[in-house]
Amino acid sequence: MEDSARLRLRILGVIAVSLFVALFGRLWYLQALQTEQLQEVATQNITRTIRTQAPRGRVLDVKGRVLVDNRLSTIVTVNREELRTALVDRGVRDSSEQQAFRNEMFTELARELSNSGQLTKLADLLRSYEDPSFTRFESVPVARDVDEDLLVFIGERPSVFPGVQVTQEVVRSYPYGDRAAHILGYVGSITGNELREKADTWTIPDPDDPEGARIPDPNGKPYRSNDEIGKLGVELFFEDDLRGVPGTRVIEVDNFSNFVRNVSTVSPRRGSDVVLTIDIDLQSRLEDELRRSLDIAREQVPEGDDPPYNAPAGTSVIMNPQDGSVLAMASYPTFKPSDFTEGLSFAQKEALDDPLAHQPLLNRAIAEIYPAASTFKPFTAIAAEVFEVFGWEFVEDFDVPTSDPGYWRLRSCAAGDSADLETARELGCVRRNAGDATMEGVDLRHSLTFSSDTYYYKLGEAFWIAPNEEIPDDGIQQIASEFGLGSSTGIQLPGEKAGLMPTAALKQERHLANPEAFPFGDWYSGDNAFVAIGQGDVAITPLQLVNAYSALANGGTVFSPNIARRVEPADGSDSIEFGARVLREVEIPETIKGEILDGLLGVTFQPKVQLDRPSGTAYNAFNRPEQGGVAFDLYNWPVAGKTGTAEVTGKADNALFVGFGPSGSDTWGTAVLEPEYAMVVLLEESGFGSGTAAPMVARVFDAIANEEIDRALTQDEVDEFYAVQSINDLAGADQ
Amino acid sequence: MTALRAGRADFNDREQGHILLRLDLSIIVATAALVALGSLVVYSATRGVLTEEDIPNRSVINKQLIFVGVGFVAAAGASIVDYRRIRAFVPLFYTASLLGLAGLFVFGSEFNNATSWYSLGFITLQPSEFAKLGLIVTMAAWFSHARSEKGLRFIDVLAGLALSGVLAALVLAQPDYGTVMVYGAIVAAIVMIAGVRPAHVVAVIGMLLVGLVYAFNTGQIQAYQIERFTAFADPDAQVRYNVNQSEIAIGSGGLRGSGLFNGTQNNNSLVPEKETDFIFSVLGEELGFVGGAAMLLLFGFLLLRIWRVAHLAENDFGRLICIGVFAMILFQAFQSVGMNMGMMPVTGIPLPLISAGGSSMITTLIAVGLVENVHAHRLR
Repeated sequence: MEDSARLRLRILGVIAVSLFVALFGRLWYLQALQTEQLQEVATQNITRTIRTQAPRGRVLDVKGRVLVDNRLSTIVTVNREELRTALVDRGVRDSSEQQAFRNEMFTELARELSNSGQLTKLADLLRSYEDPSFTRFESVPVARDVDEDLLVFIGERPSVFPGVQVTQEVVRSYPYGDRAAHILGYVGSITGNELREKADTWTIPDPDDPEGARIPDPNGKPYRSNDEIGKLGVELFFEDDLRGVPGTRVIEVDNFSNFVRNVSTVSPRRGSDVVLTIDIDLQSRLEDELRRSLDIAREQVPEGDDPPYNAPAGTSVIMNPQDGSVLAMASYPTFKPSDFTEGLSFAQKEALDDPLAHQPLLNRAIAEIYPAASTFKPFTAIAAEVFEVFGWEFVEDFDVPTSDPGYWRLRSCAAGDSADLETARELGCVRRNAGDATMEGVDLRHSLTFSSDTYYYKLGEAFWIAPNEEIPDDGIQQIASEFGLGSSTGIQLPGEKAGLMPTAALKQERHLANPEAFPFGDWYSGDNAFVAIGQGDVAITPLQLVNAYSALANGGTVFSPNIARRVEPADGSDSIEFGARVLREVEIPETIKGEILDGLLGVTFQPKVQLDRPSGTAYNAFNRPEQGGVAFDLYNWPVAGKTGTAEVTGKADNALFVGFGPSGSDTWGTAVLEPEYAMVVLLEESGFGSGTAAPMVARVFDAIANEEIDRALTQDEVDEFYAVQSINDLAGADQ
Repeated sequence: MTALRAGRADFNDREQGHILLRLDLSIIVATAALVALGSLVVYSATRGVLTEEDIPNRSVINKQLIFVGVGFVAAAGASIVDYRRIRAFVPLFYTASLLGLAGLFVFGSEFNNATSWYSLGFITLQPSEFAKLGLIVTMAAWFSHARSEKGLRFIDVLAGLALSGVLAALVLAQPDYGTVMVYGAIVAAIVMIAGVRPAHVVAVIGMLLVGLVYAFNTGQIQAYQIERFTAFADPDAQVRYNVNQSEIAIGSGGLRGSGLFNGTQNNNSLVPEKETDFIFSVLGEELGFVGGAAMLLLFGFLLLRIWRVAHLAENDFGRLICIGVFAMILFQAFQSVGMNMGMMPVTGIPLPLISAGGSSMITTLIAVGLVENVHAHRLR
């Protein structure tokens, strides 16, 4: 072999060696220098994280009965991408052809659903299917709570229903049906707004970032679209507790995202249980009585041109005045929380929004404001004693009987003292009692028992016209506010309204801020007179009222009412107890404490010592069954209370009663007891408080006093009851 | 036995032992080691087992082991008969290669958009693989012949290129650009060792360019046909994804690998064609740098021994055969491993002795057999 060939062979050898060096270099780069990054990518490559929803915590009543539970529901979902792929695989590529197939498939699905007992319209299915909040890879629920047999039926027919799946999900169930609906609230899919609001929840400050960036809380409960979230009531207020910790399932997938195997599973954790202060038995009784009372109110016949007694809505609350816990809270009209778990149908949505339905979702006990009317009077009286209005110039002392001519002529009115009564009346300078009733021997007790407006007009005007350094203009409002009237109570429920405690300053302020809505900015003594009887712009929620009376009942402790007793984590860790929350202590002057209690007791009760006097405004309700009342054992279970009849322009009056018991008075010869129950009833457009509201309180207190509160029927029992009824009906028809 | 020892000492050894004693045992060992390693990795790539309950799929590896057996028998045959007596039959081999490739246009089966296979029911044959052998012996015969007369003339170079060009054109028509490149590497190496003058190389390249420009300008070559050749420089998204996944596989293997059968990229089929073109990704992922380097060292050692045989060859014909085999294995190994690691364009050629595929396995083993033949008959 000549030298040139040797040289060429060597050159070839050098080329080979350099190629191998290049390969080694690259191999080292990838496997020694890039390993960490590439290993991370390789791990992400083959895993997918699937979130599994955690069941929410339950809601229980004070005796541990489950009011909100979870159950399995069978749902039908459609995966748009799977459906499309299945169609393309079959050669259906044209979009109009695909649509035709879809319509055919959904028609068939609607038929099967209807055959299984759930009447379903094609349009409903299509509307659900096109829900834009789902991506095309997500399965869109089109029908919920369907017959379980569909699991098999549709599962066996993938060719007829491509992309359609029947699965089971955990949904809310309500063993007591629509009982306590406003308290419990309901859940629904999270909206885009809620999702944005919740974006920062369940994050913690990043310990590694000095600039305070936030990272997800590893123990948090982050939200994703289509998650369930509380929308109302306890479900909303205790959302963070009730919501479970979502589980994650990391699965390995292949190149085509086919499931290969489970890598890791973190089980979802159920949310905490919330135990309420509500007693479902009492709650059920209260709801039934509320509905019945509105029915009774509707039967009243208006006089002359008076507005009709429509009695469309009402509310009632019972609480324990000793610790501020709410025992029952009813609002009418009401709704079925279960309607929301299955997704509201279009018709259901329309029905809820119908003005004639009178806002069934509104919890009138906390989220609607009303004039306090005569129920406000005890607070005016307390203010008068605190600021020494009793005995000031034209005002008699609280224990001096005076005569009530049926009206109060405002001293500071434009008509002047010289004008005759008619002229003054035309000029708006006269405030009248309801029905122009005249009374003799009216002292503080009497003014409450018989509800003299004149007595309080006088006090109201005195506050306003007395020199400010002696008596503050807004003394009544100050005292009423201390009892919590006109401000939120802080109950553990969402959507509570504050109401309004009008003052001269507030009126001026509102007028200046918005002259069109509030054309008058000046405050007159007539305004103050109206405030004194809880009219004018005084606006309170029924819960505020019963809470203020609870303070009267317990001697001056104003609570922030509790509706939840505790939160019990599902893992058995320590529960969070909500003890009595004292908002403030109000000092009720000892001088009139007994007078006020006696005055309120007299509303329901005529003690033997006072048989010579006429009876109180709620006497019939608590003593005369023949007058629509009950024969109440007031000697052993005395009830102190106050009727109220609030004027509403153009409508029948709102009927009010608020009271507490058992509550005795040593002056009247009954046992002195610590009241355990305070109760308010407000019936819209129902007439006199004495006529419809007081009897309801009498009936409920009677049942409590005699321990006759029946066990609440569960939804199953109600269903069974009605099922038996209908079978009987059929049997009757056969004969 | 001294004859079995590698090294210059036995170069002058006049002992004429039995043919088996005159083989280079180290080539056999290196080849067998590569085949064994390849079989393990092919099995891992094709067994398809992901859970303990699954039964491994052995159909691919069983077939592959049969090919290995056939290949070794064929290699034994190729090493025994004195290659100098084969020389007379070179025109026959050439013609057989020509007919085998041409026959594809009549009897071939299309797969992956290329008509490169004869389908014989349970197996498929890839004639362009076997034709590599025809090409090597033809080129070796032609250039050793041309050289032996009056030195390598330009006309001889052109004639040799024309002979190989016909075969390459047939492969190009399938189309199978990767194999054409292997042919080019084989021819280039043989022409270089045969002693082509640099001026001739320049002339050939110039002629090729002029011809291309002419053909393009007269419309005999369309732009898209050029693009097909340059496509590898600008791979589409799918190709980039595949290479990326291959790099992830190799990189995630790290120094020691994830262990045989344990590669997630492999088990989840994230790399396409993983038992053939992308077999090195499986090896790199599961056996790591240790396994990858071992394989490269085995290839390096095998090539070194083949290169040595080229030195020892008794005549130019044998030497050029060795160079052809050397170039074939070198180019294929570099291209395939380089492509797996993202440093070479994506072309569908197998990693010799490793990738699944009977035609490539048998062809490479026969080629190694031919080298052994040259070694065994290195003495006059």
